[in-house]
Amino acid sequence: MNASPLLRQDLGGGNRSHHARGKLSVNRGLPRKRSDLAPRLSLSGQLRAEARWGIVLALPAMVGFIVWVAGPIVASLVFSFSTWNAGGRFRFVGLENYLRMARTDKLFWKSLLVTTYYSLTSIPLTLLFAFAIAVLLNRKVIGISLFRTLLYLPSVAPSVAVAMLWLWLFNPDFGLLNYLLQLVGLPKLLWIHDEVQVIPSFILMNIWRMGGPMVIFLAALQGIPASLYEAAELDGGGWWSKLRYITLPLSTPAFFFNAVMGIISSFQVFNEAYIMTDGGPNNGSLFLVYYVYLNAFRYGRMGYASTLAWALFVVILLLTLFMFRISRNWVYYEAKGR
Amino acid sequence: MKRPALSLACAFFFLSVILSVSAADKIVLTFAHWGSPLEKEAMAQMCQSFEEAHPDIIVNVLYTPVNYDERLSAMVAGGIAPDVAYCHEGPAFSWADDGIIMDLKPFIDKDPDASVDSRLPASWYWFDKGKKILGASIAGEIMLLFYNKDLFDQFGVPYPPSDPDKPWTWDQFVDAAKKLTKMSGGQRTFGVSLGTWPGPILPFVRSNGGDFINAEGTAPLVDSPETIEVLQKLADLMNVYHVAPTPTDLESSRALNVNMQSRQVAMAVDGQWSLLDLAKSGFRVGVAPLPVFKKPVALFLGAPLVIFSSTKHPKEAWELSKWIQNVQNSLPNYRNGLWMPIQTKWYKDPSLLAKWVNSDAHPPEYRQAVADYLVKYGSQYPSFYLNDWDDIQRVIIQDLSNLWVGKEDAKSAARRMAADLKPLLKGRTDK
Repeated sequence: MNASPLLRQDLGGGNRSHHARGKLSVNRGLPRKRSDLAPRLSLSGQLRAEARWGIVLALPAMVGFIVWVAGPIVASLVFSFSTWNAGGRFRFVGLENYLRMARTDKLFWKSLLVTTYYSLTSIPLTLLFAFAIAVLLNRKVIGISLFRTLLYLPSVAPSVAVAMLWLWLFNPDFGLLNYLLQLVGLPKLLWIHDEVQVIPSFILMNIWRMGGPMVIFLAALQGIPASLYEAAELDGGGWWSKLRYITLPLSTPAFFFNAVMGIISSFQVFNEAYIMTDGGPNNGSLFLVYYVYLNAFRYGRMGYASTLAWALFVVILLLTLFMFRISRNWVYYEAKGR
Repeated sequence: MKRPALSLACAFFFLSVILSVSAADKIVLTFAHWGSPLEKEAMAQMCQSFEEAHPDIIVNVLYTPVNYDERLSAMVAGGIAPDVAYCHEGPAFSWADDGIIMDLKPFIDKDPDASVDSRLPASWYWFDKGKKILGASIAGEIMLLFYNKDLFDQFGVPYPPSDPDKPWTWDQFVDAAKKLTKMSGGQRTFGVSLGTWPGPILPFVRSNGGDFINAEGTAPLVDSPETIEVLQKLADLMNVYHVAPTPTDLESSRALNVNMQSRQVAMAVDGQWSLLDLAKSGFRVGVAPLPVFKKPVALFLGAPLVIFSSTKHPKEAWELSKWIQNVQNSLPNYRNGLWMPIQTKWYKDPSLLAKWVNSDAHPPEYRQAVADYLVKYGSQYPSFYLNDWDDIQRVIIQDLSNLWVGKEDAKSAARRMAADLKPLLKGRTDK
């Protein structure tokens, strides 16, 4: 492949350009590193055609992005200042929706609390669990690919099917989980049918689906050079030292990536509430996205739902920025050093 | 590359022009509805008979069994609203206020076949403080006491009375439920099951002189002593007498007809529409008016049939909506136990009443226990006249959820609910 036209300009144009076009004299004072490179504006016919086709071929994706993503994002920002309802009249109400959300809407604060509780508990637990499993799967055992497949499988299953499956597992009357509890002589639980137990139940379900983070951990573990372990062994390091001083530090980028992705996805948790609990009992699982859905599609308040969605966006943005901020203190990249 | 696409587009364009020209001499109405596959079939047949009776009209039927509200919203927002449609109350009221749904009062005033008096007073959806009508309920429904006659006979318990003037008292009802609750040979039978949405609760509350919200629709009444008493008594069925399954017990089982057929429950408080499934479940179904505290109450439920203002053929749309609500045109839906008529003559005229009540689905006591019960003691579900009922209903369901599992008593749940309901109440649409 040819170097991109942009790169050529970055390199300061070329010798020939000065003779050919005085317009590019901007570059005159710059050191000429590669005098044989063609200048940006004198692209050959083939390159021009390539550029044009590049744009044409990227157009579907660009139009798709503008129509299906960027457009709705801007529209929802506009709606968030109105009492618009699908098909209804557009009434601009200024900051009223935002004030109502912050001041009088108890359910918004409840849903924010529920979502935060779920996310901040489930992310660390899921990461720890996924990491532990990944460490186990990183060994050379017979049938390891079978184990890897089995443990990854739940995260490939469609989430609606998973929700239906766990509805049965959680069933207080004949569910498998209560049956297991009874086998070992423990009392039955109400699981998702209890205000207090519902979030821990969902966390359990989420841990079961940790295939995604697990695979990323596994890849990170396989990227650790064996020479480091050999060196540790020569120095008399045991399994704990190897884990603590080699495996863990070198997996921190994977931890960081999984944590950020976890925040983004777990703050958008929806299916569980939609399919399994209707946000109950007593709003115990009223996740923020489910509350957005209720307002938009059940109560017909698209404007207010947009306000809530933007609040959610801000929360996720702040948390992600915070994660990046503190990542400097604990994430280790081999290339950059600390 | 360009040419085949262009010619294809041209061909498509001409084809659509030809199609629209050929349809131009006929009026096309779009009718959107939800429902079971059975209802789909019945509606398709009904629209066909409408087309036969009106050769100049074509009815385009849009059947949407799930996510109906989302689809309808999208159609309205996209400027392709149907002409006639089933519509849930929430969007219906807000669209009516915005003029997106038509006020049918002018049609109703001129049309003797569909005058205000010709239909049950409870079936109308009034808006704009009772000046306009956005529609009448598609059909009628009430809350009933269903029971399994086979089980009653086996346990030697007398049937509940079918006379709406002399129904069971609450104590008689609890007594029967206790006798019917059995645990024998691994088979657990609960005396009665009732859902925890407002439908099965409200008739008892109103029977005791209480309510969730006051008659003006401006203040919560759920913390009144009459309401609290009934809520506690309903919860006691589950947690004190153990004659009714808690919501978590109910979860373990399937649909009501399966529960009753498999003898997991002997009686059930549920909507009239359940008769459709119960009648086919292989046991003798009984129906009775609900037990009373102070006075009989028959809770009337429904959903409006509306006409969108964007229709180009309002007159024809009105004809279609009348056709849909005319019992004669969809008699199978009434005879199979799904619907009840909204026209008073189908209750008052014995020969018309016999036409839908004398069926395989309707038990012999139905005429007295259901038809008479509704005509005499009909009382509207709040979705007929309160804005934001979906919102209010969800608050009621969520705030009562701890009561049913015995984690909270009725008094504290009701107080909390009253506080949560207060900001949602905006008065009535019909007054």
